[in-house]
Amino acid sequence: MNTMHMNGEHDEKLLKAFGYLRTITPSEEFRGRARRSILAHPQNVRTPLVLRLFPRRILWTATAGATALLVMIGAYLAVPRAQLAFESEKLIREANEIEFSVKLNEAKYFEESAEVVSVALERLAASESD
Amino acid sequence: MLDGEAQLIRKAQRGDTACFGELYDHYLPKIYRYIFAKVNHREYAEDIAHEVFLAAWKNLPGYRERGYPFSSWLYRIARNEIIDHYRLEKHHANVDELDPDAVHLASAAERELDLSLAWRTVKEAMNELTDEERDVLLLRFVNDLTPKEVAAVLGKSEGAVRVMQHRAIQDLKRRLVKNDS
Repeated sequence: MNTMHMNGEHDEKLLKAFGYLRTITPSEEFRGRARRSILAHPQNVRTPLVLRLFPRRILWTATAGATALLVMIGAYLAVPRAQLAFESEKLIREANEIEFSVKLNEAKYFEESAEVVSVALERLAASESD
Repeated sequence: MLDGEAQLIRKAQRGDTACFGELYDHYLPKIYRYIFAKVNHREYAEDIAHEVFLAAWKNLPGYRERGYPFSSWLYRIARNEIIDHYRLEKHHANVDELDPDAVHLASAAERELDLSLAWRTVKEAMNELTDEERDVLLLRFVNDLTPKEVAAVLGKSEGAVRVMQHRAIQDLKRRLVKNDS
């Protein structure tokens, strides 16, 4: 028993009273009966609040959608910034090259077409003079 | 604390009845004693003890160890069940209802009577203490809980429990002197 610093008749009475309580035990009959009765009950299953609020199918769909979105965001964030910058420079360079080659083709076309046109005009002029 | 208690609790949380049975066998006498001291009636004490362990078994999957022993959780359930008992049954324990024949005493008959009478006198004086002061005395001196464990049961600080204990003992002694005179 925990030590109580007491003395005298009343202290003894207190110690006796608490000592008496310490001798109290439940009966064997009650012990066995209660045990069987308690263990016959099922335990409460802990269900998360979200599962109680929404049907399982909706949760699966929402989870799959959220996962796909996270994967896309993750993939975007995984590409290094430097690489993105390099790729944009490369794109600009390619665009410029395409533009340059278009200009060259145009020049070539005008050069060739001018020659064809001048020949056609000469022929037309000759036929008119005839 | 029971040997391997943490493992017993984990298994019982998964529905192992044998493991819960071990916890039940170990803690039932302590919890029963605490309840009996509060209600002073064998049948009420049995009913409440049954409810305590039923609630513990059902809610064990949700139990989380938070730095206090498992017993503190059981005493808290017991305390709430006793409060519910008084609220619902409108029954107020009376020292006259003490039923010495219904309790099992290890000591001889004369000593039993002497102890029982001492308890009657003290119980009468204790009825004039606050409910929390009674709890502190019973948990400390009958159930051997430490001030920290009592604090966990009552939801108070350890310091507050020590102060309440000191005040309750002084008050109880004063009342015993007064009742004798």
